[in-house]
Amino acid sequence: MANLKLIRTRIKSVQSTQKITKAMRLVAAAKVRRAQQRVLAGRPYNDSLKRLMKDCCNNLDEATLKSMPLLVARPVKRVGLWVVSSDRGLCGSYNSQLFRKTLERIEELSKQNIEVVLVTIGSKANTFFKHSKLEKIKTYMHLPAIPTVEEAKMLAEFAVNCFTDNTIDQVEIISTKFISMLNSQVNTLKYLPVELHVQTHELSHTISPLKLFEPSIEEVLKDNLIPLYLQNVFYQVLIEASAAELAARMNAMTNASNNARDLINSLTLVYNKARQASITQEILEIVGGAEALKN
Amino acid sequence: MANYLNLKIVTPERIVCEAQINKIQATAIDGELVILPNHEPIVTALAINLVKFENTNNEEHYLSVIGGILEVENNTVTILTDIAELDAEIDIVRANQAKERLEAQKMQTDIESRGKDTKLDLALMRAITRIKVHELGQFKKNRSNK
Repeated sequence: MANLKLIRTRIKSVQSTQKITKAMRLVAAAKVRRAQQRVLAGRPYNDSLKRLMKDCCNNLDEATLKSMPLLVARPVKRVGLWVVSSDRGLCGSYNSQLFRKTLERIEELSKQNIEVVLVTIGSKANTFFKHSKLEKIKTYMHLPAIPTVEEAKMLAEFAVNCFTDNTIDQVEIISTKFISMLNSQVNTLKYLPVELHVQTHELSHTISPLKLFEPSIEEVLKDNLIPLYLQNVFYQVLIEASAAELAARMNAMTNASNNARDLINSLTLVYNKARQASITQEILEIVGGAEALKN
Repeated sequence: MANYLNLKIVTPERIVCEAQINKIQATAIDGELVILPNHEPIVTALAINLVKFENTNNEEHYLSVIGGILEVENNTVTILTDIAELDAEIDIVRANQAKERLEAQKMQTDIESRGKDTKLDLALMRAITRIKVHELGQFKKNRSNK
């Protein structure tokens, strides 16, 4: 009988766990839909900005482009890795995948004798790299769950400052890219210096009509376009990461709920068998007793 | 020759408005700017200020725009900015509170550092712009009611 009670409490506890994971799944599912919409809502801005950047660069010659400090590549001695992780757990392999990729990248860079410094975003990255010997120049934790332009601006400004005051020669962002509900990918993005893809220089120059830039093309590019562009790249990274995190959490919670269901099923089976066995036992005892009385 | 402009105001979070307009008035960093149909292609940086446009039904609308870039090409005006709000969307209570708080903060800073604290000034400018746009919006509403 003790065994029966044990199984019963076990079933109860699995059931209450299942309730929690189911609820978390529903919450994540609702949030991921909104996060996906945010990713989509950012596209028109992103497209226009990129087109404008391209236009602008096509109107400039190489020498002027070289004079922009954020566009010039320096010999790389110190690389800053911005690791975009989540603040909360229970999202499957989301963070561990990210950290594996980060460690791989660190290994790769240190083989080339390049110093690596870290900037961690999210408390998970902070705890993971707490005991690492690498220098951590900044830690961000508990940023709002829904990333806004404000955070992107703050992060971008810090990255630009680090780059311009020569503490870091290259900025890379390691983050998770949202591909679909079931699929996401850890990406390493070269953030600074800005890489412009303007190979079709001569060709597009003749096609695009000459534009008026006020006050001047260099100033517009330097003071407005590039900061906006950098900020937007970070914003995209943040919203993609948050969508990927929620998707990962939803999947993890779906799996957990399914596992709980399977566990409950098999435990119920064991429980019923045990109960049946004890009933059979009792009947046998009664029948045995009756037989004994007859004689 | 087209006799209207297509206006599109985009922020990273959403498309604030898309409309066909007769004219748009904005403040660039180096001065005021009015764009009419068939304007030549131009790219310019915007200041923190209000933007006024008149749609093809001759209705006037106001927006607060926090910096950004204005581009004109092929009779299409695109404004790319961090934050843009139409007059009806502005939370006037919050803007007033922000203005009061920031002004109090500004009074506290000593005179030497005043004007150097650009972050404070920018935030104050944002609040003032929002209030201005809201007031213009209210004014417009009252006038159309009469």
